[in-house]
Amino acid sequence: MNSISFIYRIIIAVVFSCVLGFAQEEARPAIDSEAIYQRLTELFRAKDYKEIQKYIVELKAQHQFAAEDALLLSLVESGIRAESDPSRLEASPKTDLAAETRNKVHFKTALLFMHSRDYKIADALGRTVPPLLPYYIIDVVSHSPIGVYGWLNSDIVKHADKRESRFMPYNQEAAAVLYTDVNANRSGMNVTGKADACQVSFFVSADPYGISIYVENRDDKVDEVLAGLQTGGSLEMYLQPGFDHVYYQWMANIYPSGTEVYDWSSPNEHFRSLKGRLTCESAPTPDGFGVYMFIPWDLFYDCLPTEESEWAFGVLPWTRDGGFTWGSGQVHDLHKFGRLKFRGLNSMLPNIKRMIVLKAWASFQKALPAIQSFWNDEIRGDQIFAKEVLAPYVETLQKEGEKVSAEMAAETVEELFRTMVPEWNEFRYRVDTLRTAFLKKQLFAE
Amino acid sequence: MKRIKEVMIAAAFCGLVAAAREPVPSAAPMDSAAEAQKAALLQRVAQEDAEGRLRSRGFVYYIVPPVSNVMRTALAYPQDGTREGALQVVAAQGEFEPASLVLFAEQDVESVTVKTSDLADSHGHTIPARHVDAKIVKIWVQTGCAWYSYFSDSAGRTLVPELLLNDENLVKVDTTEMNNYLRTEKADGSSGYLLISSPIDYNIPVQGISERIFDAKELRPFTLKRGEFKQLWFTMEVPETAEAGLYHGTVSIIAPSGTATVPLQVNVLPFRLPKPMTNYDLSREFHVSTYNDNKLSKYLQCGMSQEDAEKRLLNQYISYRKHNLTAPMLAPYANVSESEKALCLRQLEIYREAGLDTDTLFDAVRGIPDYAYLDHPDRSKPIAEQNLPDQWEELTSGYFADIQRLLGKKPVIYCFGWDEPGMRLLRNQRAAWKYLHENGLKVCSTGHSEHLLHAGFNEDFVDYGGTYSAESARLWHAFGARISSYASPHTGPENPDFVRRTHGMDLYLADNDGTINYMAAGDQWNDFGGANYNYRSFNHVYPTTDGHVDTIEFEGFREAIDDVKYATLLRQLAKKAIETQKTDNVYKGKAALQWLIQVDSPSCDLNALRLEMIRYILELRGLE
Repeated sequence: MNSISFIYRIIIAVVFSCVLGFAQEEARPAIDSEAIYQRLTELFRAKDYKEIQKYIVELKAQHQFAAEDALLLSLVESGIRAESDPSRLEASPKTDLAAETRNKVHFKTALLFMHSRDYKIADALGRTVPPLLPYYIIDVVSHSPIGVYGWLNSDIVKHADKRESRFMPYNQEAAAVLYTDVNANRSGMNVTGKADACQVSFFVSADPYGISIYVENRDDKVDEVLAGLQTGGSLEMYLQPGFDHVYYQWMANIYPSGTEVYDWSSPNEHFRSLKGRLTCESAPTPDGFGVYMFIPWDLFYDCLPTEESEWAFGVLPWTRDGGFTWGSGQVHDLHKFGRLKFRGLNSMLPNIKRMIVLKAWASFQKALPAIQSFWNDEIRGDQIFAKEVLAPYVETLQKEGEKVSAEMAAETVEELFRTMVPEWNEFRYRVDTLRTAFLKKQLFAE
Repeated sequence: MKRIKEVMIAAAFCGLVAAAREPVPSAAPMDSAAEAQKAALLQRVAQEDAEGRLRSRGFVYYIVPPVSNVMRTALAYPQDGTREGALQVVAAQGEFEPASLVLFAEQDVESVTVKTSDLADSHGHTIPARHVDAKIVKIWVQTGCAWYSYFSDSAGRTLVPELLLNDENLVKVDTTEMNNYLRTEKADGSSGYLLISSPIDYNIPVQGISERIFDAKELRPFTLKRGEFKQLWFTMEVPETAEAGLYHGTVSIIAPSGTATVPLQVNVLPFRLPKPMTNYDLSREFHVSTYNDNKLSKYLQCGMSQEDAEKRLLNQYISYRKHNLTAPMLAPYANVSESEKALCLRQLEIYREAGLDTDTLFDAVRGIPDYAYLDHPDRSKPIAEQNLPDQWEELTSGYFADIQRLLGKKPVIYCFGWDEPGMRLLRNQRAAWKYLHENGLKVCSTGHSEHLLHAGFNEDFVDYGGTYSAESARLWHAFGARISSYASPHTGPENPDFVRRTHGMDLYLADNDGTINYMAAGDQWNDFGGANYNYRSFNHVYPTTDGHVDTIEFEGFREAIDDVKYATLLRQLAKKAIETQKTDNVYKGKAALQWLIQVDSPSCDLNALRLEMIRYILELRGLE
């Protein structure tokens, strides 16, 4: 009985305390977040940290706060105490707020420190842990499958670990303003649709000829798409062979087959357009549609990957149900796209280079007749230039070409790859450089 | 070599990444990699330097093509450079033409200055030194897609050459944190540096339009850093009255450790360049316009005095003229009030004072009815049964009369319709546009091929978004309309060769009637606007309180239009040659035209193309 009485007394005391507490809480009026933030903004503009600290003390004494405001004030105090040294920032206080809400509070706090031009604190408060980027490991093999049905019947698609399907829904706010991009043709795509799951998966392989990409799109309306009653959707693709290089963007229809390439540089000695080099084929499959894409290595002859390379790779399926992205990137967000890595590259590299040498020699031979004919022409050309400048250069290029054969030794391949491939591939630009120097010499002759 | 650091600030700030938020230390600086690169460069340059100049003078220089695809960063060896060569410029009378070099130092060098001599030819003709302008090419931090694209890739940060500055300290770059800081002044004369590489929502209080930003009036002493390259950009303004011939002068690069005397050779060609005309019709002008944010009313709204605002606008317009941007879009009279009308007319006066084109005006008169009017159910009625937008007469034909009084002539005015209209809005402008046509005005609209289904007949000029082709041009020309392009690409990419090609010869040979891109000058210094919006800052130039800062891409723009002028002259001379009916002349003329039309404009070497055009022109001029 005594114990019951004791417990009873405790309960009474707790209830009383709570009531008193609530009464006290009620005695402290709430203040709206907007008013706090407005006042803080004014004080931060004046960079009056003492006044800010005083204001916060007063606020805490006189008001009760929503959890967001409490976090904001705590971050402000921490930021001021850090005295412009981000390493002195305290860890963000624990809170039950959702991650997205916490992010917003951090953002608002960082903005305050921007007002006071305390940039390092603002920067540190605004940072977050970047999301993990997805990686795809490409096996470099002797022969990749070719075409939709080659891939469909290959072993690769049977291996779950080669199938990539970690797509995220495309940022809806960003999708809503995609109409402002007049460059890429996404017409007919439901870019703001919200699908539950992405039905797309992809595979990538490489061999001595190039990089092959195979995309599967599960679709339960194959006949309607084949008839043209429904859109098959499209794949917006990005590939950047290292962050030092121009990136490639292209749009591949899932069905019917078709591509559009968007160049972000004019073709020049250091950049070759994908136009005319990209192979793309799409076809119906038992479960939907398959899209096969192939990019030859000669596009990248001056930036071939190593086994350490990471190439940004964007795959953004625009389907009837909505848009998705591999990685968290929006269109052109190269640093947020997934990455490609190459496994088994070293052993296959000599074969890759061999093909590049063969193609470069062929490219030169194809370009040569027209250029020679033009400059040697009595009316149209410049026979002095043709004889004194062009001919000796061409002779050198042709002489080195005598070493080319499908059976070249590895050393020959390496030598020609290093010395002659740039000359043969960029022959027309080299001629332009020679011509520029020739004309300048004339223009500046006394 | 580009230095890139992945700083995932933008995504976090925009709430896109719902990850645990703890303060994350900044990424470690890439100093060791950079130091290794510098050491390799020092070794390479020293090996080439048989004369020992690097040691004796403290620096060497390489002449480089100014407008090229090569991104000249601090650690990029100039593969296309000529070591210790001469600056060479070939230009027509009255033409602006660039030249460039990069400097490389063995040790840090303080206080380097540049002094240019007068130029003289062998007959005693001279060009004063003041006709050579020198600037530092400032490398700063831009988004991951910089140099190539106008899209943001805002999680990437990369060092890119872009600004042409007199005072390299106008912008300070923190290469460890990869941030830019802009020097701004307060009205009381105090100055400080603003962070200008933060996400767009942090852009407080960075507003280029309201901050007081001034570059120096002439090139200030600058520094060289050990093992790094620094690019200088020279712009030769050949006087219109200069005699043709070969002129010689020098550019002295003066450092405490020694002086480099760089020969400067200028070949002044024996002709002036004509107005740019179209490829398909030599009697039709190739119009050079652009969207812009150069508004007198806006400058006044942000607190500038009338005098300062007018001076700022005048300087910007003069710069536009000097960069061949002769018909920038104007500020139309949009809300009926005497004060606003007075401001619009004053802006037009300043435009004229700057020497811009007053024969054809873009966006000088309003062509956009307000949305409430366009959205009204009456717009589905036949045109004859529709009323006009409120105050339409006063805003359009009435104001047109004011413009004519001001200019003393009747210019051709293209009124711009609703921007990127959907097809319903496009059709709903019919009655308003008909009024414009009935009152001697013309209509321009951003558009695409679908316009041919809904409009076309009532569009005098269409500005295609994101694409251009000779086939599109052929369609619009067939019924008398004109066509140009924007967003192919937008402004933003720094690569001056890309800008030159896409605003010049490639567009010209696709039979376009000009270029009207978006946009020459926004008001943003901050490139990191991309998040949901995902675009970079659209700029050819960056605003200052007394004008703007020029960029290498705007130099590319100038060359683009100069290319079209050279092509125009070539075509004019070829036509003359053919008209002589002398077989040899006819052959020469036709061969020139044949060559021009076969130019592979999407990919040819534009510097080679220019010289070849000059060769044809000189040859055709010599025909009798």
